[in-house]
Amino acid sequence: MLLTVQQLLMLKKASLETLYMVSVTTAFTVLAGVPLGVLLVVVRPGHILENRWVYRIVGLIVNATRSVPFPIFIVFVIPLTRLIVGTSIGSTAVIVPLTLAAFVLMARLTETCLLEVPHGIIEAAQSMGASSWRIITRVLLPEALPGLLMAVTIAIVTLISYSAMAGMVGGGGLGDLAIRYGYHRYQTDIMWATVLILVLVVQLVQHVGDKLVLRFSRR
Amino acid sequence: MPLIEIKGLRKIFGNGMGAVEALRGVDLEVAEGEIFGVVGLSGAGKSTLVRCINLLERPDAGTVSVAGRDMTSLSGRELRLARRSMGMIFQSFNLLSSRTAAGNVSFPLEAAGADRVAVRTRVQELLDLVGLSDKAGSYPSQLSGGQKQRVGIARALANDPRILLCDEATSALDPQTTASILALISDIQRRLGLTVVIITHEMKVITEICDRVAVMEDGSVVEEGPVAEVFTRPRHPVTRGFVETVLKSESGLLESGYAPKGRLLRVRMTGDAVQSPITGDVARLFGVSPVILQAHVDRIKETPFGSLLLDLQGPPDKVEQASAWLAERSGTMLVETLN
Ligand SMILES: Nc1ncnc2c1ncn2[C@@H]1O[C@H](COP(=O)(O)OP(=O)(O)OP(=O)(O)O)[C@@H](O)[C@H]1O
Ligand SMILES: [Mg+2]
Repeated sequence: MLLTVQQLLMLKKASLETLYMVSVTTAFTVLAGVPLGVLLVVVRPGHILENRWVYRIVGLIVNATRSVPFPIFIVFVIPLTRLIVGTSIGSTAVIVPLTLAAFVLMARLTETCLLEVPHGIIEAAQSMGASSWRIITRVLLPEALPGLLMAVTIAIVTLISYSAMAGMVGGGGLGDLAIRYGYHRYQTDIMWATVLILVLVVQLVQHVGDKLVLRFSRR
Repeated sequence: MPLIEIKGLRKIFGNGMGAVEALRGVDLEVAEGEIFGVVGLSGAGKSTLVRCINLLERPDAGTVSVAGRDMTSLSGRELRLARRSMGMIFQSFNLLSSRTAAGNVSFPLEAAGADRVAVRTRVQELLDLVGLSDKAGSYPSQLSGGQKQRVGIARALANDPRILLCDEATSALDPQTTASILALISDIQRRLGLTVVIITHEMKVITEICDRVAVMEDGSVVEEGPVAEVFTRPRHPVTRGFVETVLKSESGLLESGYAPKGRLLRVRMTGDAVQSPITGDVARLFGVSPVILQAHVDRIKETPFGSLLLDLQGPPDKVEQASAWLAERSGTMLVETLN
């Protein structure tokens, strides 16, 4: 399988677009998803900032957001995207629906990790007179760090796959290239090349993620 | 004035049909500088009681006052400050797995806002105190149960508390490690003048280090007093059961078919009485033959404690005189006729 210079340039451009979309979205996803996940945990019944109504309402919104299929979601949020980015087309515009879809996933993953922190450890911190903020930042998050790193890995891999649909609104990227050339124009060589790159990237992300998890596991 | 004063404490978990009344009106007073034990069977409400002292559990009724302050009336901030004057250790240690031994001990100091240098020296001091200075850099997963509990103790003592609360602190440890942790608690208690509340289901823990004990059953305190006294004169069946876990009862012996030829006597002694040669005395003075069926000498904290099961054989009038003579030497001695 030999690729022309033009095809290689297309691959390079698409790779950079994917890299751009995924990295920016990952940053937003973690920044928004982890705090939301923390909120979902601490307002639970019996937890440090127990609040039944916040727990129910936030849970409902998260579930609703997660039930919408991603392609439909892109269309749904077009008005919001226009408002934030100024346009609903292009790589930057895709970041809005991508973030919105992924940060609720990240929130649920964070919630699962934090719930695994033994309740006794939280009580021990309370017995020492630690504030809720300190318990969140110095107990819950550090104790759950290996799990959180695993969650971020899952979120990145999910984002890589979601970003394939960016082509719908002219976002470009590797997935879009594979669909346009491989699926619509039967240029299977370029399709295979993009798939190969995606496989390698996902492997790499997972490998780095696993290494980090191992590095921070103390249990 | 007692340091900890608990009045009419009630706690109900759940509601409706599934409600459990974990505490049914508990009154207790713990004096400054004593080691106070609470013993009871599983589910008696011991943990709930101790958790009400630092308000990890909020009581439904009654008051808990510590050093004259009603804990239930404190604001969030005041409660956090008050909790720093009470350390707590747990059955499952509850150490932060992501921090080293030193990191765990520094947690409460950081929470109290101590500066970095002060934290470092204090952590070193505390690890020395519990004999773990060589393990400062080890993570909990690299420590044995006994070492983890030592870290737990160092952490609980970090902010110079007046009170140490122990919820089944030795229940996950083997007998030898239990003994060393109890020795450490009692040593620290003496050196720092702490007031200690120990929750346990093992009578051995009580006799080993406690000054006073409360026995709990089904959410209530059924018996309370100085350990030696409760131990020599257990009144409630639950207390008897606990005493028997340390001291074999006579029932097993009798069930195995032993038929006493004379009068079966249980003699319990504390203090100096333990050293008096009573079997020789009764034999010499009354011409009776005391057959020793069981003998047990131990100590309750620092007080020697002895228990004898005697089959006092001889002419009935002599036996009568001898047991009356034994009974008269009461005070430090308790004599029960069992047949
Ligand atoms: N958070 C809770 N929710 C519901 N019920 C509870 C809760 N905590 C304790 N209970 C109930 O309250 C009662 C007393 O429990 P507690 O833990 O105080 O007993 P305990 O004497 O410490 O027992 P153990 O020796 O097993 O630790 C039990 O019936 C228990 O099931
Ligand atoms: Mg308990």
